Amino acid sequence: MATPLRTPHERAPVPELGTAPIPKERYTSREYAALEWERMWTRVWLLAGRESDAQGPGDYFTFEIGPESILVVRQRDGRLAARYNVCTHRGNRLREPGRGHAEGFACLFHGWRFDLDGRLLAPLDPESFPQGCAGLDLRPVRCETWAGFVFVNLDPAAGPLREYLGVIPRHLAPYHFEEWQVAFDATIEIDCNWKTSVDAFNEAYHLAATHTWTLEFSDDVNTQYDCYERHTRMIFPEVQASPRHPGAGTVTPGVRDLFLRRVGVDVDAFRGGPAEARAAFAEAIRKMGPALGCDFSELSESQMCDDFHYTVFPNVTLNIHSLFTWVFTHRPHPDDPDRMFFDFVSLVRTPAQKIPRPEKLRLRAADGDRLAGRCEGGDLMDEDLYNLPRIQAGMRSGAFRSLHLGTQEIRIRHFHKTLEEYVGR
Amino acid sequence: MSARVFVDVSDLASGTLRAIEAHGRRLVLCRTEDGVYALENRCPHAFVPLDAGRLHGHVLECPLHGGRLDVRDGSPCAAPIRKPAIRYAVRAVAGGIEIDLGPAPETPRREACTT
Repeated sequence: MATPLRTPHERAPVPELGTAPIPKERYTSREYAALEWERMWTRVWLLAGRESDAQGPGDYFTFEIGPESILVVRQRDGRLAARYNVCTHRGNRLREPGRGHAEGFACLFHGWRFDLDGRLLAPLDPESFPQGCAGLDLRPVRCETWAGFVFVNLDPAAGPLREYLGVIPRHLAPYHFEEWQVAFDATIEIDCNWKTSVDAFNEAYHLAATHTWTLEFSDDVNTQYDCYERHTRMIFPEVQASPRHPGAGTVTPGVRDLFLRRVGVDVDAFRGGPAEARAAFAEAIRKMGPALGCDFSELSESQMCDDFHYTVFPNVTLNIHSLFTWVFTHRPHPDDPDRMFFDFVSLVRTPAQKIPRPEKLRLRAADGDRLAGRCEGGDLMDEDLYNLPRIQAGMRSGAFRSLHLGTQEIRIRHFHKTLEEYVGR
Repeated sequence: MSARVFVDVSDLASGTLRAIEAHGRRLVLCRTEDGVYALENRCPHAFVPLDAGRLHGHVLECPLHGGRLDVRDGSPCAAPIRKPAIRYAVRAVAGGIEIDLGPAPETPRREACTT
C-alpha cells in the first residue's frame, strides 16, 4: 500500500533577508513595470485557469496577462494547448476574453481560419500573397498542468512547470485539487499595483487593524511564516481566538456560531474548551466526507481548521481550507502600474455533487462595486479592497520613500528577493 | 395569415440545438431549462448557421467568431454580433410546440459567403 501523503507542517528555516527598506518605485514606476514585464512576467509560469473550463475538444478559455491574451484550447486528442490570441495576418485578436467553444478560430478582420491546434487552414484569396503564407500558424505558448490548474509560460525555453513549482505539488498533494470545482469567479479592477495586492495577503499582521472583528475566531499572533525557494506559506490558525482578543483561551461566540454550529456541532451540548472546539470542528467535517465524496484522511486537524496559505510566485495566493479554497490571481494592468486585475476564484471540494460553473463577474472597485452579498467572505474581502487604492495613493506621496517591513512580513521581503533576482534590481 | 408549424421536441435535450426547415425558412430550435425558443438559423453577423454553436443557459454562442445571442428575444449579448437574430414565437401544444413563422419574407435573405 502506498504511503499516505502528508503536508509538512514544520517551520522552514528562516532565511537571512536583512532589514533593508524596499524602494517604493517598484510599485509606482512605469520603468520598473516595463522591466518586470521583460524580465519576469515573460519568464515565469503563470496560473491561467482550471482544466475543467476546457473539458471537451474545442472548449477554450482566454488568459489575459499584461498586454497579452492567450487562448488555452482543448485539442481533439485531449491535450491542452495554448496559443497567442492574435491573428498572424494583421494582429487582430481572435476571441473576446472569456470561455467558449470553437470548431476552429476564424479571424473577424479578414476571415483567416486556423484549426484548433493553431494551424493556418485557409487565408482568404491565398493567390493574392505572392510571398506565400508559410509559417503563419498561431504562435504557440508553453502550457502545462498540475492538479487541475493550467499554467502557461511565455518563455519557450522555460524549464518544466513541476520544477518551477518546487515544494508546492508535494505539500498540496493531500488536497487532491484535481477534484475541486469552481463555485465563484470574479475579476475586480483595482486602482493599485499588482504587488500592493499580493503583499496585502502575504501576512496576518494586518488582521488586528483591518479585520478586527475576525480576531474572535482567527489567530494572527500564532501564525507561522515559511519561505521556500520562490514560494512562501503561512499557517494561519482559525477556529481559535487571537491572544489579542478578550475571549482568548475560551470558545468565543464567533467560534461557536460561525464555525461549530455551521458544521453541525450541537453547540448547546458542547462543554469543551478551545482545543476540544477545534477537534469537534475537524471531526464534524470529516463526517461530511462520504456525502461530499472526499477523503479527508490525509489532512491533519490543523488542516481541517486553519488556513494553509500558499503564495506561488509571482502572483497566486491560495487560501486553502478543508472544504473551500480561495484562489487569488493578481494580474498587472497592460501599461499602468497604478492599476491591476484581481481574480477571485472560490473552489469547493464536493466531487460527489456536481455544481454548475458560475459565470465570471466583472467588477470595478472605483465604481463602488463590492463583494459583500455576492460571495461567502465578501465582507472580509471588501475590507482589503478598500485599503488597496489608498495604500497605492499613499505610496505615491513625496512623503513616502520605502516599505519598512517587520518579521511578520518576511514573506513580502522574500517575495522582493525573488522579484529582484528576475528583474535585476 | 401567418404560417405555423408543429414540431415534436420530445427528443430535444435541455442545452441542445436542432436545425429545422419549414415553409422555406431555416430555423434553429434552442431547448433551455424553461422551454424551447426558435431563432432564424443564421448568425446576424456573418450569416453562418447557428445550430453548430453551443447553448449556455439562454445564451447561444456562434461557432465561427464566438459572438453571443440571447435566445429568448434574439438580442445580441457579445461581440461581434451587434444586430438581433429573427425570433419566432413558440407556444407549447399537445405533443410538442407550434412555431408562428409570421408573414412570408418579401425579399430573399443573404446567405453565408464562403471565405
